[in-house]
Amino acid sequence: MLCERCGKEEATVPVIKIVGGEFTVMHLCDKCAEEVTGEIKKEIESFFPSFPDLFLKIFSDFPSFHTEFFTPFEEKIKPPEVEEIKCPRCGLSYSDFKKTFQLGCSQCYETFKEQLEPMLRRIHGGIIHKGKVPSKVPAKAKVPKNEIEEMKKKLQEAVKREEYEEAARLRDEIRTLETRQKKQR
Amino acid sequence: MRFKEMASKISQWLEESKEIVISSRVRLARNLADFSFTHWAKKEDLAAIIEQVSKGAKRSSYLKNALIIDLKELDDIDRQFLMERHLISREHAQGKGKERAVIIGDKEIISIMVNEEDHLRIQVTESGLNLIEAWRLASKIDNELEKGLNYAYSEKYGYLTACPTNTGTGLRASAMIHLPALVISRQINKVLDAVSRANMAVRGIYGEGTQAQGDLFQISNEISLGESEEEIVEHVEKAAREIMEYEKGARKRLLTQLKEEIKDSVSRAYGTLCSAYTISSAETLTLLSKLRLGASIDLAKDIDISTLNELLILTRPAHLQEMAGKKLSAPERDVKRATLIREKLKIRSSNR
Ligand SMILES: [Zn+2]
Ligand SMILES: [Zn+2]
Repeated sequence: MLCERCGKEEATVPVIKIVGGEFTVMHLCDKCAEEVTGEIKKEIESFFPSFPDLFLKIFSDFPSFHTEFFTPFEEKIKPPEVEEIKCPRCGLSYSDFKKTFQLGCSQCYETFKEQLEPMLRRIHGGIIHKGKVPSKVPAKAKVPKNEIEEMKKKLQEAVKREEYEEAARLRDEIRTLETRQKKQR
Repeated sequence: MRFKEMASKISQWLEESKEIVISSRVRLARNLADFSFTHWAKKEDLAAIIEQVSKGAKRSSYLKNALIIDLKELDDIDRQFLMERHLISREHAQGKGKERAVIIGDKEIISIMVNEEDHLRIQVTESGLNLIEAWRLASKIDNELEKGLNYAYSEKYGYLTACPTNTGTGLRASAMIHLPALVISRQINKVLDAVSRANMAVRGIYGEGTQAQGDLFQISNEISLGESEEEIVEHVEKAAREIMEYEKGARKRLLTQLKEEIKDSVSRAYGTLCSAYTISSAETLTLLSKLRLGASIDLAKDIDISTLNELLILTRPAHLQEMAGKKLSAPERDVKRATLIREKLKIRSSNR
């Protein structure tokens, strides 16, 4: 892939800009990456000297992007194994996801569930949808019964460990799911 | 270039806007369950998505007379033109050669980007602070489109989007706000700081990154999962209303404490705009902001805010080139821009 900025050199560095919650990924060569991140940083510093981080996060290289978004969720499984997980439907691997921060298909949400849920929680605070429900919800979209059972087990464990914040959160999530299922019947 | 006619007029939602909050926008991200997400989908799948969505749009009562535009067939200036009118995003304008489209409804209130980051990005823009209305309309369009489309949805996570930052409601509610008095009185950082602590994002409308030219800012929600659409919309409305109150307070203080200075800066802005023969886009934004402030605090009573709104968009590079019907160099645009501003401001004063 050629650099998206100069179009001449081989792109080696993904630069991820997050502005107002919108992610933009640019694949750049070394030289352009340095120039771009330098420009952006200067811009922010001149405009919002006291709190630049709130408006724009720049990951000029994999290591820092990795630390910010991925490392906390990979502790359970060793990285090489995580990298190799592939979505059976669309073929996207976890390492592909890390490159662009884009999932491949709706099935990816199941495929990468273990990594994705803590990430969603970190971004949004919660992981259970509370909003609009389409008029036709396909059977595939329903939450399987055993998943709620699993959450209940986790809740009991959290109580045992006296992690009450975690327990309260799980309790609310289970409640939200159960009421929605009752409504639909 | 094909938007010459459209380029001489701005959209009604902007023309009518006289408030500190210029406009409200709601965007819903949706994907079709049967295809991979845009960046991962095959070319023929992307074409099929455009076809399905276009068919759905034609059946929708809100999009009967909508314009369906294949972005592949437009030149760079045309695509930039649509971006300047806030009908498509920068990313949608720039994606090279990719199968992508935009559906534009009556009066440019509704626009649907097809094959942006998500298969559908339904956008509704209203004048002033009116996010609730924008959400209602977006949801109705969404309901109609849903009848013919198979959305990617999970009972647990909600609407499934390509990027995990949009999962859940797929909703981004945003307000465009003009904050010149907060900028002049150097209180803007304090206000923006408070806003971002409430899980909101703020950024400048014009200029790369956060270099906010023209004192125009956009505030929007950062969280899309775990809150209902109504809650999200309400939070952004509340934040926008609070910022508006701060701006009003700052304007009042300016009028009492710095009346002569502000009057001077407003009249000088007017003088420059009326007499310049060449002017850059950055300077135009700065001066228009001052004049807009003057017009709204009765220091420039005879200035019509809708003329200023008009100039805000018509003086953008692609608009000038569409009106001219040809590609213009930057110095040529600066001359054209100055001429247009003089004409618009003159028409206004000779009408009196
Ligand atoms: Zn380069
Ligand atoms: Zn997948």
